[in-house]
Amino acid sequence: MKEMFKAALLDSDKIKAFSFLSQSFDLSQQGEAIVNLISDVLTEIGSDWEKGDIALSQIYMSSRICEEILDKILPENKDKESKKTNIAIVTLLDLHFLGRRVVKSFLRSSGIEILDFGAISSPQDLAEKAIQNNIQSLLISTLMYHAAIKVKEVRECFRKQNYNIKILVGGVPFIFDRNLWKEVDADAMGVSPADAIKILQLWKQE
Amino acid sequence: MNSMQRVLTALSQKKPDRVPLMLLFSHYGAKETGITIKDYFSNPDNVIEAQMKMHKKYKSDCLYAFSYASLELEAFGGNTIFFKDGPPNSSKPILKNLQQIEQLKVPEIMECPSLQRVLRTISGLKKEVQDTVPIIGVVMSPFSLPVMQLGFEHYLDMMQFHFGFFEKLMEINKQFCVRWANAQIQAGATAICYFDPVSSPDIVSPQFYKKTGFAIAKETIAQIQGPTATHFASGRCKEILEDVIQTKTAIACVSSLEDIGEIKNICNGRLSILGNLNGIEMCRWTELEAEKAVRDIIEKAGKNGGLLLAENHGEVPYYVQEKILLSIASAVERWGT
Ligand code: B12
Repeated sequence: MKEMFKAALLDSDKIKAFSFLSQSFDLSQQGEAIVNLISDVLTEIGSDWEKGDIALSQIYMSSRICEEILDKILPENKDKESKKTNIAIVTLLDLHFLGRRVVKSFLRSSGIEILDFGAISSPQDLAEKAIQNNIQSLLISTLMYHAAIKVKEVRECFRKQNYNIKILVGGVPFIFDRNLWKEVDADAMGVSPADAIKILQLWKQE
Repeated sequence: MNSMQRVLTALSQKKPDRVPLMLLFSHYGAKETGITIKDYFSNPDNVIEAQMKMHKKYKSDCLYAFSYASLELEAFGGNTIFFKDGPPNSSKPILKNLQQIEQLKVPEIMECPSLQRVLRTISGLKKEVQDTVPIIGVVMSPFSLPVMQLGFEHYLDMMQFHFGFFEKLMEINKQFCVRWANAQIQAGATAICYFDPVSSPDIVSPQFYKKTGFAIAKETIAQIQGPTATHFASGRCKEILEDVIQTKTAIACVSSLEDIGEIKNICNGRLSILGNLNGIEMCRWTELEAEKAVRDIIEKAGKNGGLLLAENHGEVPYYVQEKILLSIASAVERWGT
């Protein structure tokens, strides 16, 4: 059953994916079970991408379809974004937004609410915004190397303000240099967007 | 051997006097010159002078006329954003919606100042070296350019749901790519580096590539009046190598995420390879690490020609230290002969 849903996602077949869910679940009653299934499947898709078995286009389409399906089944989730969450995601000093978009869809589809800070180019502005919003876990996505190393400046801003926060980084520079996240003083890195789900769940338990 | 002889020997699958080193310097030239990246690219004389200097200093076997990818977006009316310590990036996409593709025109090379600057750079370099050092020109593939024309997300959506528009855009981009490549050849470029990372299995599936990126590359490369190298900008290529060979390109560029020895075996003399130093890690390598990385690649893939040693993305990052480039150069002399 899970395999069929996954296959539909990897084929970018929204209709098949949706009709599979509506046949297998009572859509109005089993919201939680559906979120769990989606979260499971997306985690698998994330690790398939990490292994190089599937392409970015597939991971992107899967995340989009899942987000759309959930917005349809659980419309109340749609406006939840801005409500009571202490998790935020941002693209730092970079003009490339796709990484953030995919990670955000993965999290939302797994029932994790997250504030989207968009693109912010100054480490100071980012730190200020995070503090104002009482953020406890900050996800930073970058594509360019010169942007990735600026995470260190973000950390310094938080330190100066004595603000305790966890930083999770991701994006290509961190994949090509597996030690870069430590160099920039992040708390963790994720390779695939599904890592964000795992790491945030872990942090929540701490 | 001079650089040209060395490179041609390697490309003919014979052993040159040493493995050719292809350090592809783009905005790194600004660092060498001590000026801002924006100023650096604004005048071809800066680029010519820095290219000649870096060619000698780092014993690199080519000159590189590439400035930045967004240059081609400028030709289509877009803008570029410059940074002080990293490569320029494209600003907003030029296409706000798919319907605008209907009105899109193939840019005239003569009418775009930034393309003209590259052509002047190439002819200036050619005057300096004649046929002793290969001069590499660059084009974005018709299949990869739309990431900047539309934005990545909209491009992926178009591929999936609006194939008619996709085909229209490809027609325009193919024409532009061929014209732009041939203008560079006419100005004196020895070969064209065809940047096509969207074709990498990291970005689209090999099945999808077959009916898109592959067919487009085959058609486009056939019209380019000089040899080409296909570059995946550090995206992986192993799974699509057989198709890449069919496009009649001369060289494939290998990601540092791949085993270059394995790729060389698959190519088995049908294609030369360029790679695969990790440019991101290079930013914090020690000299010893640099030497080890060079030695590993030469051991795995350096026998009997067919290898051009290079960074895997197609440009040396700004943050790579001078001493690391010098140790790469001396490691090639030590281990590559
Ligand atoms: C395709 C590609 C291109 C295409 C399209 C680029 C684009 N997006 O605009 C083209 C040919 C146009 C191109 C051009 C350039 N490129 Co390019 N390109 C690539 C390539 C192959 C893929 C990049 C990509 O967009 N991937 C898709 C995104 C969504 O992937 P991602 O950010 O990694 O996100 C995934 C995961 O990392 C994760 N993730 C992302 N963020 C986060 C955050 C968290 C918290 C977590 C947990 C996970 C996570 O989820 C995502 C989905 O799985 C990479 C190399 C590679 N092997 O990946 C180089 C790369 C991005 N390019 C690079 C560069 C430098 C450039 C240029 C600046 C070159 C130049 N001098 O002009 C230009 C800039 C183009 C522009 N827009 O202005 C460098 C950047 C690093 C650096 N050296 O500074 C790279 C990394 C190559 C390299 N190895 O050095 N490029």
